[in-house]
Amino acid sequence: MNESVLEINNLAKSFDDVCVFSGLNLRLDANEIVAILGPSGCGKSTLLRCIVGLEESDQGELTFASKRGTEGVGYLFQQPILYPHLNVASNIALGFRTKPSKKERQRTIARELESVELEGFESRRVESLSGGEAQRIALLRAMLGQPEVLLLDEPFSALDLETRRSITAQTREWLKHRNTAAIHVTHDPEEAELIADRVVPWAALFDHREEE
Amino acid sequence: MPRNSEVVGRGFVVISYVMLSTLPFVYAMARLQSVTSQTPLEALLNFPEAYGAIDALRFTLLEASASAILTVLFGLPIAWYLGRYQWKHATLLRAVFSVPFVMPAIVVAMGFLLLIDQQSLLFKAGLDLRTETGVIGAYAQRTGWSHPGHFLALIIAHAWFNLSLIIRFVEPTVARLDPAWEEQMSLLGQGQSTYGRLRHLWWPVLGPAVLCAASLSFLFSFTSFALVKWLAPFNHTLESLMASYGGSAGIANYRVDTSEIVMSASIVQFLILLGALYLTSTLQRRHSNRFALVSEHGAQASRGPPTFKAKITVYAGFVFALAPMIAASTASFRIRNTTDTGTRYTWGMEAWDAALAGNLSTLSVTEALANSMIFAIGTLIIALPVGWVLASTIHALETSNHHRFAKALDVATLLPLAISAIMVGLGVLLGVLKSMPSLFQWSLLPILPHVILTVPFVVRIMLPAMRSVDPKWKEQASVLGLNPLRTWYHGYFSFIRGPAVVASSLTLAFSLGEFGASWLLVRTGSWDTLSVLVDTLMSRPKFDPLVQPTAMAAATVLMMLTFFLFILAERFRAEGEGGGF
Repeated sequence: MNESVLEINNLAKSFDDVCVFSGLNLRLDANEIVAILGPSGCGKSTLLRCIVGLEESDQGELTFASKRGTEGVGYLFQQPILYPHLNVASNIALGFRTKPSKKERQRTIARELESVELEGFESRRVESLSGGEAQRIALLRAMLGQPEVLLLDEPFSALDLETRRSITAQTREWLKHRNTAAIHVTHDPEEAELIADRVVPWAALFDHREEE
Repeated sequence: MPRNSEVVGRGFVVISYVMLSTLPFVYAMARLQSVTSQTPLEALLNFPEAYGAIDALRFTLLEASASAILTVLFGLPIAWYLGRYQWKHATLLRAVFSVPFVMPAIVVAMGFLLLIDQQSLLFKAGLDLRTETGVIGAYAQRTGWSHPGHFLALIIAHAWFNLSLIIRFVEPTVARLDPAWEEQMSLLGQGQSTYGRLRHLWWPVLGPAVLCAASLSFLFSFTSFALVKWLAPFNHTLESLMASYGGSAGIANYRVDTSEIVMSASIVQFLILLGALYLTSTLQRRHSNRFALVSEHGAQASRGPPTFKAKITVYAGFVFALAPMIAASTASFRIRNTTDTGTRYTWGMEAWDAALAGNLSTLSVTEALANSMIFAIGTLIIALPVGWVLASTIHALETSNHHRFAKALDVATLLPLAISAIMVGLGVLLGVLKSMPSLFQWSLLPILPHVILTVPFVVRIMLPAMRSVDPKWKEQASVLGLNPLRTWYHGYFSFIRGPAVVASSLTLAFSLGEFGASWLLVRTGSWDTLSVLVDTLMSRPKFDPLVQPTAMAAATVLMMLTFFLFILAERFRAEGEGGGF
């Protein structure tokens, strides 16, 4: 059995007495990509927000293998949030955990952009990017902090089918190349199959054993 | 395509307004030039030699800068917490925080005088800002700084006055910024620390708004008159210097030195204010909504109820905002009673009776109120259509890609703010004296400077509203077979009705409270306004115990009227609308 990077036991969350989920369990192994498949509004995003610490869970346990805890978690929102007062390079640079030298920063950003086939985009304004380009920049930025776990909150749902397929496959390749574990939530079975090592239906999270 | 008659009409209004707003200054300059035989450049170069001018400039720059900084320090935390959380009675809180800006300066001065007098809590706590004894006196002695207490009182009053600027500019952005932006930043390496989030998110988002509010606060503190006159009576700002010498300036062969001082000071003031306006207008352009905004309620709901720190900050600000107003109203019922055994204070309505009857050889409050209302309504009748036409002309130029003309006209409408109330009043006074002396007897003369001073505010409110109306509404109305009037009403006017009410209320409020120009033009006679009446009463010796409470009764009437107008304006403001001055 692989070593787990994250274990969720009996997690519960409600808003204003409306229960979003309760008794939720999940185990994520090192280098594993799990896709959680569920309909819109079932609580997938809330689960990711609880994992990263944007929401406080009411009950249950979240255990990270790493000492970094939630600091070792990266997050990709549904919409790529790129700051319009910064160009592409400066947006990516926000992901550095410690401030690098100017040269190091330029070199790293150029290398990362090349890895997603966006070389030469450093000084581009973010408003000029297409949806796919913007989401790839957001992904680069999230990965720059070397997260142990990356959470993907339906980040490709707004893209057209062709771009979605290619970017999903590229993301999988990228995560595998960097040995990063990930939880991807989606309502699209095809996207889930394409990216994940393991697909977990939402309902299965409430069993004591997860069904594949 | 606009019709020829429309173009001619717009052109007429634009040219008339530009002439109206610049002529007083030009007239004043021409008159002063002929009396002093100095060119404007010579006057500028002679500025350091003008009596009291350097001291006034130093004091003005110091108090305006300190006031701007203090405004930001007081206002930013309030704006932050007010925007971040859902508050019960949010409309009331916003109205109370915004009212200071439209409150007549003379009323504010009276309120602050009461807050620092010898009966005040501040005095009892050992902080004597008025007579400067105790700690303040010791500090003055140690540092050699004359009247630090007056300076402190003045900048606190300015910060109170300008509080709404920072709240109106900053709060809507805080309230409506998509929470996901903040969450995203907190999850990135550079956004892990508070400093990182400040540097990479909050400063880029709020910085231009904060600087814009600070520069406007500097501008209004720079031209402050009533507050300086009453709270820092031993110091002159350039504005109060011009006002005090204005009475004898511009008269040939009489006190030419006063004309020289006024001319030099007005040119220096004009140049500095022009710089500040340029900065404000640049910052205002940068303070655009490039950032993703969501519904205010949605963003605030995600953060839950206000924290303890937020409550303390906002409620302390609430008390600060109300304190001078409550002090002024309360003082109208408090009568000094001096007997052999000492001085006591009793509560009663005597001052209100005196104010209503005009028993102190002044106009009664009702007569002064009627005068103020006549000036205010007259101002509204002219300023609203003029401001409307100017704003729609700027918008028409923008939409027809004449951006340079649009920008030039936009700046031209701001010019009266760079000239200041005293200079406008002085310009009208000197211009009228020179060209049509008989007009000086015309009782409605104060309307002219009031129009000049309020039109910039009408333009600033109407222009963003006009920009935001989608032309497709008008197109839709026109294809429904409506007549032109109904097309205009349903496809255009109904969208800017709210801002038009806001502009009208603020024009009335500004005109009612205007003091500098009115003070110059209606200093004596039966056309005193409420603000001039308050000043007249307060300038008297206070042997009669009813003088001060009567002044406060008049101030209370003015305050209540302004408050009512502002509450009315608030009801018509769109959600999250900011920077609406």
